[in-house]
Amino acid sequence: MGVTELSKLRDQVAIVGVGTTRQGTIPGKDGNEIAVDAFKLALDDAGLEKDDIDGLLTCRSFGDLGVDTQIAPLIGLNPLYSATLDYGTCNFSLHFAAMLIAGGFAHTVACMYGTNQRSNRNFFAGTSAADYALAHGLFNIAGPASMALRRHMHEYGTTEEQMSAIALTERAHARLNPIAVMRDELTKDDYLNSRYIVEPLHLFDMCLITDGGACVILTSAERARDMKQPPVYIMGMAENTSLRNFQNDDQLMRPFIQTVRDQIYPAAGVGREDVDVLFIQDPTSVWVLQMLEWYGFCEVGEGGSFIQDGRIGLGGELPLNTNGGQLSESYMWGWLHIPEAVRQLRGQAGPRQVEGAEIAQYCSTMAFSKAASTIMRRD
Amino acid sequence: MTDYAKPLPDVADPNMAPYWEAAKRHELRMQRCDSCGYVRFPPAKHCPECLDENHDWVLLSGRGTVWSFGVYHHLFNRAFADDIPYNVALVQLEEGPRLVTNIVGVENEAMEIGMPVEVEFDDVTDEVTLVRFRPRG
Repeated sequence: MGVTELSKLRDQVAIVGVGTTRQGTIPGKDGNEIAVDAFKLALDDAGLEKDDIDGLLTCRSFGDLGVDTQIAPLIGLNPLYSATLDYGTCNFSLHFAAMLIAGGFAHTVACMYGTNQRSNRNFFAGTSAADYALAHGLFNIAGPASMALRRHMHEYGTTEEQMSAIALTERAHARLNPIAVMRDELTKDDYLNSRYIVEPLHLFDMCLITDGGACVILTSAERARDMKQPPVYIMGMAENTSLRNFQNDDQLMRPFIQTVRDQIYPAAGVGREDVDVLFIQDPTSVWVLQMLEWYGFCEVGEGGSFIQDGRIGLGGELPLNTNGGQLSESYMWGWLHIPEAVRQLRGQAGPRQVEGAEIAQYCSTMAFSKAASTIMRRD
Repeated sequence: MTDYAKPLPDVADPNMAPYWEAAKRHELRMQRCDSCGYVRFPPAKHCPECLDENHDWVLLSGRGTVWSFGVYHHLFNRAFADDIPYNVALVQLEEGPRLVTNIVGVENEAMEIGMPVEVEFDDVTDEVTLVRFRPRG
C-alpha cells in the first residue's frame, strides 16, 4: 500500500443511520418533503432525535429544490453547519460530512436527498449540454454515454451481448429488493431485442426516472460506538475532478478516475481484492464498465469479458449493486448505494445478503466532471 | 424557415457571437490565444491555458475525424421526430478542439469512428447557421 495524507481520516467517522423512502411514484409530495421522510427514517434507524443532528448537508434536486435553507425549516433545525451540494451521489456528501466531523464543525451530520422528478415529468431532455449541442439533438446523458460505449467497442471489441450482463445482473438483484421499482424477470433476449435509446445503448442500459428520497447520518467513530446500530466505519475516501470537461481529450472515457483509484486503497489501507461487495453509481451501464476498469478490478478494455459468467452477481466473485442499482432499483442520483452498502455490512440485507461481507466500496461520478469513492467496513 | 421548431443557440451570447457570425458567412472560426497559441472552444474571455485575454478568431481548416457518435432512436424532443434515427457525433478537429455536431451525406450504418470529415454549413434559419460535417475524400 502506498502512503497518502487521506489515511489520516481512516476509521475516524462512521455511518450510524440510513433511511430510504418508498421509490417510484410519490404523488402529492415535493422533493424536499420526500427528503424529510428519508430523514425521519434515518433518525429512527440510528435511534437519534432530530436535535442530535448539528450538521446538515442537502443536495440540489429537480425543480430548484433540495437547498439547505429550504429544508432546515421543514425539519425545525438550526444546525451548527449546513450546506448544499449541487450533486451529492451520496459519496460527495459523505466526504463533506466526514470533513465536517473530523474538523469539528459538527458532531453528527445528516446528508439527504429527495426528488419527485417522475411525478413532475422531468425527462432530462436538456441535460447540461450547451445550447449549440442541443441544436444538434444531443439530449440526455444517453448521448455522451453512447459515444463512450461505441468508442469502447471500437477500441476493445466490447459487444452489446457482453454489456447485457450489467442490466441482467442488476435486475436479478432488484427482484430480491422490496423497494426496487423494476422487478420483472429480464432475459438476454429481452435486452438484445429492446429498442435503442441512443445506439448502441439499449433501453435497459439506462436508469429509471423515479421519485424517492435517501438519508445517511454520520458521526465520529467514538460517538458511534454507543449507538443503536453497529457502526459502519469509513476506512477511506478519495476524489478527483476533471472540471475542464470538454477541454479534456479523453473527456468521455473518463481516465481521470484512475487518480481516485491510486488514492482510495492506500487511504483505506486495504486492496481491491479485500472488497466483498462493490457499488458503482449507474445512470447508464457504461459507468459500470468504465469504473470496473479504472478502479483496476480488471484491465482497461477487458470490462466486457470481466462481467460475464455471474462474476458480478450475488454468489459471484465480486457482487455488484446488490440493491439493483439505478438501472432496476431506483434513480436517486447515486444516493441508494450507500444505504445498501451499510445494510450489507450490518448483515441486514435479507435475501440479498452477501455472506460475511466485511468491506464495501462505492464508486461514483458527477458525469464527466468529478469522481469519488468510499471504502467502508463493519465493526 | 420561420417554422423551424428545433432548439436554437443564443447567437447573441457575447462570447459565442463571433462564432455564429462566422458560421453565417460559412466559415469555421475559433479563438486562438495570442500568447500561447491554444485554440479554445467553447469560446471564453480568457485562455484556459495561460489566462491571457488577447486572441484572434482564426479560420480553421474545417477538417477533422469522427471521434465517436451515437444514433438517437428515442425521441427526446418532438421537433426531431422526422429525423429519428439521427446521429450526433463528436468531431475531433485538426486544430485541437472537439465539436458536437451531426454528420450529413452518409447513412448512419455507414458511419465509422475515425472517418475523415469536412465542415458543411446549414442555414437553418435566417439568423442561425449550424456547423455540420460530411465525409471527406
